[in-house]
Amino acid sequence: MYKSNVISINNLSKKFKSFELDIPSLNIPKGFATALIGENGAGKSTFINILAGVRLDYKGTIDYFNGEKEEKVIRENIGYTGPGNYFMPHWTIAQIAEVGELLFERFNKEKFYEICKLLGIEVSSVKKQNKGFNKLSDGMKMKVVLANVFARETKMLLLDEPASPLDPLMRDKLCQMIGEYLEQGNVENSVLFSTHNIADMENVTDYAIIMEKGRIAEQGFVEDLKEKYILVKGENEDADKVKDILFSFQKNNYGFEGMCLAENIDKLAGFNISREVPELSQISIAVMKKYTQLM
Amino acid sequence: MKDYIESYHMFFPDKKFRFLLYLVYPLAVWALLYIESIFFDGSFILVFTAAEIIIAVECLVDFFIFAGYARKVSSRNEYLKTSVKYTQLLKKAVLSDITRRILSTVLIISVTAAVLKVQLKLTIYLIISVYFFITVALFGLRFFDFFAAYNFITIILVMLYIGFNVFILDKNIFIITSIILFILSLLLLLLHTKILFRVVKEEYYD
Repeated sequence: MYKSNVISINNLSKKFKSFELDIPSLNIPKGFATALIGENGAGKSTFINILAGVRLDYKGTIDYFNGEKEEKVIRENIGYTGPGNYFMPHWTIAQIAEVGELLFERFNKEKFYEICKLLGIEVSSVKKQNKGFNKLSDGMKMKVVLANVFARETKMLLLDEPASPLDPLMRDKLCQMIGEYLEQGNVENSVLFSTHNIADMENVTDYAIIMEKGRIAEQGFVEDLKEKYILVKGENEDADKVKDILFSFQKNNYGFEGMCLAENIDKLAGFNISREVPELSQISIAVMKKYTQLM
Repeated sequence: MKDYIESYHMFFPDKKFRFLLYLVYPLAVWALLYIESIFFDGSFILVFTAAEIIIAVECLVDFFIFAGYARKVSSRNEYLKTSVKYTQLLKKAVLSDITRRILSTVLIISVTAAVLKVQLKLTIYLIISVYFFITVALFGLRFFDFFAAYNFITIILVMLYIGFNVFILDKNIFIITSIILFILSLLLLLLHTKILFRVVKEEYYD
């Protein structure tokens, strides 16, 4: 089990037009990869922006690195990647490396180029082409952004939708890089990444936070969640009888499938059902569906 | 000094731009004046042409550096915003920009004036008035981030500057005008810088 938190949140709220982010209490464990899962518009980016210091219009308190108060220390130790207007559109890769050194004390230019190479960016040819950041493809943009953030010595990475523009091979590479980052930090490094498709990142996720409509719908270590929820499958003849017992329920041509809370599993005794350990993606979908119905 | 220049270059579109701004721009102005002097027989009036070119170039150059910076756009420069050094670097960049504009104006006008043997009081007047007009222009221009607006405002401003000079030459009030414009330039510069940094601060809020 974890001993401390990298971020502790109390009564965090932010209103923007009809959207409201409302997180009464949340702790992000230190030394782990935490996935922030939610559908589009759930508030993942707003939440990460607030944590990264890009948005300051919120109410509530955020405690970083066990009570660290100095803004400079906090920002130097956080690496953030965002999907929006991250770099200036005209910046070339060489400029990005130069600016990195100007902005952050522990940015390593050589490491940046090394990671670029590792991610399949032909640095020499890009340098020659003198291409601006806005002229790169979406996948290439994300690779440069990731190279930039991994080239810094930090204690926490806040990655907003890092996998979305990447191809499956690169997603795998990203998972590997996150794993190495956590390992190098020796329980001091933590990662929080957002995604609306957890399946690709599941193997690197230790802790999951499921968001829906600006609120935390579920959270916990993946292993605990997999014990809390049980995937059940059964015949159509039992469908109507078990429907109300299940946390989530879906009928198909062959029968039914649903998520059952472990505390309710005894209520299914006597029915012809099969039990399986669910994937995190299945738990996420069940929680999101349930929460949407409640709202 | 080095970090001031590096911070300034952070906002430049590319390395070629440095070459164009620091070297090609003054040389091109002098080359143009040299060609013009063939027709005007080296008249002192050419120094006014230099002044007008400086205003036009400085306004258009700004489009590639700080276009739109006086207007709040919350979603830009996310990377810069995550660093505590962002505001500090922007301050250095803005200060370097002010200094470079002063140096360019002084260099181009004083060299041109020296070659054309223009009176000192007229030279000083031209330097100050050019800087004043550039400051006025940037005060408005930086609210826009499209080139057509920059072009339009620059053309209007250069025309106004020509009219203004005709008036000052006619009245022969160089010294008093220089003093007034100098004070106004300082005040405008302070106000503009204040607005710029207020906007940068506001960009952290919706």
